[in-house]
Amino acid sequence: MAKYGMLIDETRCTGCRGCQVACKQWNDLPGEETHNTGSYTNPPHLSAQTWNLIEYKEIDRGGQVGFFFLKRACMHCEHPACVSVCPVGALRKTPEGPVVYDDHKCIGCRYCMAACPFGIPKFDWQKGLLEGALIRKCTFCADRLSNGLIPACAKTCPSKAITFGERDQLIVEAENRIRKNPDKYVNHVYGKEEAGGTSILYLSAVPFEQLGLPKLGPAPVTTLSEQVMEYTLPFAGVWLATLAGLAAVFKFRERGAKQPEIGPAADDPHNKEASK
Amino acid sequence: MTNDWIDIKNADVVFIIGANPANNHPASFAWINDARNRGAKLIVVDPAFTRSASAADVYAPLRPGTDIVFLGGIINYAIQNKLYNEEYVKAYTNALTLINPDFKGPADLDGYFSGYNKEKRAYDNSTWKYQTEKVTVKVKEKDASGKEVEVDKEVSVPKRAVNLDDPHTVWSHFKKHYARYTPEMVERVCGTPKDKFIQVAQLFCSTGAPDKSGAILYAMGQTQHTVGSQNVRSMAILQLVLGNIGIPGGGVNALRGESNVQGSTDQGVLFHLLPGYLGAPTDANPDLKSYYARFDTTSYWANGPRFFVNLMKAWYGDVAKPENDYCYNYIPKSSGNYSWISLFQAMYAGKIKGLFCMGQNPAVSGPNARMERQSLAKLEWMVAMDLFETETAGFWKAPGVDPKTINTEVFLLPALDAMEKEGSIVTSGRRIQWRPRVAAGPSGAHTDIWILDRLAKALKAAYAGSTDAKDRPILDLAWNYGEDPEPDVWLVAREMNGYALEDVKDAAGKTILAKGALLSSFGTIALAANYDAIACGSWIYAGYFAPADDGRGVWRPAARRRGQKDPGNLGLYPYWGYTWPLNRHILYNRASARPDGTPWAENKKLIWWDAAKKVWTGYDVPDFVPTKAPDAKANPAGLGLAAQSGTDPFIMKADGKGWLFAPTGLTDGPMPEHYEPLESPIKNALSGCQIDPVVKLWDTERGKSIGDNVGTTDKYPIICTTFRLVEHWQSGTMSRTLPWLAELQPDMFVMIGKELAEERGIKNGDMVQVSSARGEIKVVALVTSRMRPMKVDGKPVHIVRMPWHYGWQGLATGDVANDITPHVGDANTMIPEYKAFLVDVKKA
Amino acid sequence: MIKTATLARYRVPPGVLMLGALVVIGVLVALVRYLFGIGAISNLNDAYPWGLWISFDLLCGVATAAGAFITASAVYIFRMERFRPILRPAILTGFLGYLMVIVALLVDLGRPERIWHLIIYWNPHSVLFEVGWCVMLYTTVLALEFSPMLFERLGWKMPLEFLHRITIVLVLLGTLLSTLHQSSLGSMFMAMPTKVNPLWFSQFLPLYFFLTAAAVGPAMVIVESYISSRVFWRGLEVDLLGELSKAIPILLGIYLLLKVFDITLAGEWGFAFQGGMSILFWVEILLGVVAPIVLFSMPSVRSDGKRMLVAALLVVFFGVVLNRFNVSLIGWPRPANLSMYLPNWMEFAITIGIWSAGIVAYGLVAKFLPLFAADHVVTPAKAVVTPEILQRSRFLVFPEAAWLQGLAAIAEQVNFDDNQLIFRQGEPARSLYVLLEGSVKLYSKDKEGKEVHTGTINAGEPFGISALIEPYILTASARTAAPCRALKIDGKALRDLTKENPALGQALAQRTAQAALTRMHWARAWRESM
Repeated sequence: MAKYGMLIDETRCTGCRGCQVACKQWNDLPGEETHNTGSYTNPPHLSAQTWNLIEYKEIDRGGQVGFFFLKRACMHCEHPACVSVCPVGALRKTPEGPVVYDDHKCIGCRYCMAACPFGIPKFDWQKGLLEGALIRKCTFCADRLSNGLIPACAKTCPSKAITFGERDQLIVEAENRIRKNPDKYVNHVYGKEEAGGTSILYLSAVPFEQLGLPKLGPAPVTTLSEQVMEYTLPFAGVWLATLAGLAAVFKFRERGAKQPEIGPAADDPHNKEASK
Repeated sequence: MTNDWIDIKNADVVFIIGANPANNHPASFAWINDARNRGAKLIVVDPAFTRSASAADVYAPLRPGTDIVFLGGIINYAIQNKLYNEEYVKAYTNALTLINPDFKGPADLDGYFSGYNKEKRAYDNSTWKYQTEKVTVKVKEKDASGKEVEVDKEVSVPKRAVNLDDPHTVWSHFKKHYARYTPEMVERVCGTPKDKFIQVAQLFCSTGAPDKSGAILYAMGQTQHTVGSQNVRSMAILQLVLGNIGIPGGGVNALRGESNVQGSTDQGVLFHLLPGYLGAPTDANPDLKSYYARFDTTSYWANGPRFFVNLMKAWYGDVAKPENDYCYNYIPKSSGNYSWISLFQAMYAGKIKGLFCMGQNPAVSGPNARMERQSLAKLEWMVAMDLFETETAGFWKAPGVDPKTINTEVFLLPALDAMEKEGSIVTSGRRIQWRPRVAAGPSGAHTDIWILDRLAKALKAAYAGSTDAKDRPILDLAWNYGEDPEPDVWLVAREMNGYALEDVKDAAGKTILAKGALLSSFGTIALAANYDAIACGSWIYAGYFAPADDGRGVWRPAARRRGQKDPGNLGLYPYWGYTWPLNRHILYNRASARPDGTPWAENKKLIWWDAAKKVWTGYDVPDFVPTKAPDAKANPAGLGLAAQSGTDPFIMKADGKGWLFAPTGLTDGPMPEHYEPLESPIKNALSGCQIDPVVKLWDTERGKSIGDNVGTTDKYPIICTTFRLVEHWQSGTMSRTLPWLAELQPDMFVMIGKELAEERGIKNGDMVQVSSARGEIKVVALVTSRMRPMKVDGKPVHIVRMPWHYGWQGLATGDVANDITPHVGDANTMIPEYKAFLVDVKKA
Repeated sequence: MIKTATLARYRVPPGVLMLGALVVIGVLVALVRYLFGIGAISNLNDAYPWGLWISFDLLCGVATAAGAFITASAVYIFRMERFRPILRPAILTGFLGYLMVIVALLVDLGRPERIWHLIIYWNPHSVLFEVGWCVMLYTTVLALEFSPMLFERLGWKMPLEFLHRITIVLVLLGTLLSTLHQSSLGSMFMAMPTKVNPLWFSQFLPLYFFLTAAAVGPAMVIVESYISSRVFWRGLEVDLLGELSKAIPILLGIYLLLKVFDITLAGEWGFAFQGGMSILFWVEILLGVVAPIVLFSMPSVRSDGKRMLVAALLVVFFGVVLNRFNVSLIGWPRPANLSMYLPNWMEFAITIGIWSAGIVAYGLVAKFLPLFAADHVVTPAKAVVTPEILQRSRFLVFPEAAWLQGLAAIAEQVNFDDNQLIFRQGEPARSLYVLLEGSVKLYSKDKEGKEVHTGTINAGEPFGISALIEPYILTASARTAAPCRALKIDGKALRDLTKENPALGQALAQRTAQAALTRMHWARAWRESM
């Protein structure tokens, strides 16, 4: 099965937020009550009600201001931290690419939120027991994909900044664009290798850190914790055996030693005999 | 648009001035991006560093209201550096035409053209006319006995020189006029650094090469000025000089602000037009003959009278007869200016008693909106037909207004949204697309057509039995679009498309359209001997609903086609919908070929002369007589296009040429001249004439807080301009009530540069007061590096920018930006000057 | 009058009332949380999904409950029987600590009603999955380790017998589970290399967490012993605690060396000298690690209760609490457009409520179950003491009826099994006893600290007379030599009574002095007989 991805060419994005609204429309997410606090970015951050957000960045480019628009949503990592850390396996990476969420399993521990290097999963902070607070994030429109449609954001993007397709081909396309216009792009496809690779790929005219994307190495962030988990069971065996051995050794050493006269209290019924 | 949205991808340079398509026309950026991926460059000239600017290869700031200087500067740059397309200029424009020797321009008359009358604030344009010469031609005429004989006839035709620089050619006047628009002048007036300007000029003038094309995209940043029409003229002239009109990737492209504003303009919603851009009769045309005299006889407009008759047949059916001048007397004759500002001035003066507002929200969108709301309060009744209770429908409960003091009776008719009804939508590229109804509206709300149908029938019923002559226009109105529950929109489409009332025959007596059949082209009207057997509500739409091939052999009403074939890969998509006129996608496309009929360049091929078949062929429908050879001579005695030659691409002009110099049609001069906005921080540096000399000035309630006051720099030192957001739609009627859009831009704000904010002690997110001579509003300050102060005429000037979508109704609310805009408009069209006025900003 | 006095004695102390009020506030806040969501009671937000409850209630809670497995393994695996007296309090602290962690999680989890999902839905890659299992299992183990106290109190022999047999298994399991999850709490943060501050992020995080937890275990036993010695008028096992605390410098020493090595290897010392986090780093290292290493290495500290307390508090607050906050919260990157997280009063109310409930539970267990070695047996029912019963001992025969009534009101009748410890030398003398039936042996420590038999109390004789003599500290331990019945008279009440009635005081003082004198004679005779 094809593994899908999306290429977001930041040089083509005009910050129109069609994707942001399309996302809300398809996923039936409510509008949030917001205020203008001196920025176009609104709602101010991703949330349980906003899974896709355009962040507006004014970046100084040598005296001349640059105005950039970063589309933030789930990166659908190849080795997703959220999937790795979820204690109940509520998150899952599908073979087609989307990282999907089973809201029947989730216990709301929010480890996925803490672990995600992109800060994507969000939580229903305002929902009580009756409404059932859950983790919320972009689904890559997995429901649309399974019906032969492309994600709502990619479908709606009027400036064709979002290209949906097979991840491998998108990487080729992205590298082609860089090759054709080396002056226009930073020579890097963000997401090709970051944190083990992501389904969402970015091209940009300015360094990705300036846009606000985290600098990440090629290893999945959960490499260490997964290693620890692999060693846990063998370690437990060895450690239990060691403890049992120690207990036996000390028990043996103690045999014949005098009981203190007043020593152990009544929690040890045998002590009665010992003290007699 | 002379071209089309998708055609932008064929441009080598895209020049955006007075528009922010990234924001307001996001779809355009798909094509701009495609062009850029091909290697095209993007120029953005705007007072603010907009989202479009963020994508630009070259961005140049300019002071609001100085576009004529900037564009004039480029024209001058092209002339001085010989970057213009000389062959194009000579063959296709009126550059070689000679002008009345008495003509004097602003260079001679300190800013005025010859013929100015100070008292009337108007021009007599007789000195602007072409020189003519008499030629004798042989014409066939029937003599007294009815026999056809050839006789000599003397005809006067415009006089043309051979060399551009001959005295009194348009070109020599033109050159002299623009010589004053130097890069230094641009820097002084526009505030654009000279090097930036030269960078823009150099880049855009590179499209003067035959194998290059440059597209100009503009919107309200050009038009909403007292010199708006001349701004647009400047762009057209620049494109003519560079040979960019009629060419793929060229053109002067108005990015229309609403999805169907093009369609409504086509249907004649403007006060001076009937459907299909037929001029509206005025007091000067008391009878049909005098009305007919308004049409050129040496251009395609020679068919104008026929189109008018078809329109009257559509409206009055059998009642419209030659004997009664096709009911010409039923059409009201305008006796003055019926533009927006005039209407509201009249309302304010109590001359207008009632107002029917259909999908308009003047309480938010009108200039000096507070005054316009007071105009509404002087009405006896008002009907608002809209999706929601707009600020206009609820003007009587505006903040600070006591409803008890208002006696206007207000009716609110709930209407349905575009998605909730079937009909056509016309894009800026003139492409008509039929859209189905995709959603059910709320109960109780009705389509516009339902409401109007009821209204018309009620009017007819109310006047039934009247014998009064003045009631005939209503009683005789042919009104038959079906019955309940809903009038049939297809019947309306049929009428607009045009159909034969009787068999239509050509001069030879051959039936060219059977009775009841739909017109497939307005060519049929031109050919018809009995053209009054045709009813056609809008000649330019003729054929849009007639059956047409969608490229796969499937026939359906043309506007409903969705064929995706694209011959030539230019993005014309001729089988998708229907582009008026005649499914032509690039207007004046005869100019895409050299005078000899061959393409200017292989990569700019659009249509060309097929010498073997003796026909114009190519990817687009020729905007030309298809069989007229490039070397065809004009017949000065001929009617219509016969009077034009094989190298006259501008078939709607009397001389078939592109007008660098407009001898008629404009009230404020044949060539664009810079005048300052009504409120300006400087004295006009080009001449002693401060503002456009023919601009209509009102002085209603002058001196009162909301009156027609003019602000000065001592009190209002900052330039303000209004703009739109992608998140909101016009006056926000629809968008500010939608949570998904309200959350994106929840509050009214003003964009302030960091330097000004620092000067005034304003922090990002503070509430500030923006005041003008019309009043003040309180808004959120958005402090940004995207607004920079500029140096104008040697002194620093700050510019601020406000969106104008907000009002007090809906989810996203805020003060009305237009409460502080001036009540003044363009000298020609009266479009209000929203884009340049003076304000002061301080912390609230 | 008798009735009033009895009621007065059973009055709920004001401290407990206050704690109860805090619990109620916590419950009310929790109610709001269950109705309107976590957002309604906390400042947690999408950039700070974890806050006070995870950093403090979970991470610090689990770490500070480590005393249980440390003490249990000392006693049962390493056979350090001398620590047995502090075993039960340590286990109780651990058990309650884990219950508090679970209660906190029931507030913090988004879907608390699904906490059992951990059992049926597995993700073996998830550290939290392992932590969840370990905590569940270990809490069960602690419940089993705790249950003998309950069964003894109820007198259920069978389960006691069974539990005794599996004790070693439970302890081994408990130690294993503790090792796993104490360290795994550290591993949890290894999944967040971009969030945890580089000064704290390390591949050794699991080891760090384990070592600090192992060090804070004894420290918490010290703190908790000190407090309960004050609250429950118990003696402080200074010698035992001093012994136990020897482990702290070793554990923290290894931790410190590893950390220095680690930061050097990663070349991250630069971070230790820039920004606010570097200050917290040095506070943590110097006060929480270096200072305790130094202090607990000094015998003068290890032999002094108060000094040990101070050193232990350093470990608890700077070595562990601050450390856990630094790792899990303070060191995280500030979000660009979300507010910095600071817990609000309601989050504190939850935490305080849970801790108050824990303290009350501890108090209830201490009062009603055999928690401390000294009161493992409490008379099941307190028989009403009449003047007639008083007069069964010559020590309490007085002519005035009013005196007898006064004494009867503050006396209770207690029963002891054979060979049971009644009180321990060095503890505060809370009650005066008068033996009615049976025999009680007295023991004192000699110069080497060995318990030696110093006397026998026979029926009718008083013991625990230190309750009448300043500084009211027991000079000997008492253990029954046969099943006994005795009168127990509250020392403070008796002293109050004698203040009101100086004549009674004089008479009692006379008789006490006589008894003491007799005992001294006896002791001398015993020493001479050696």
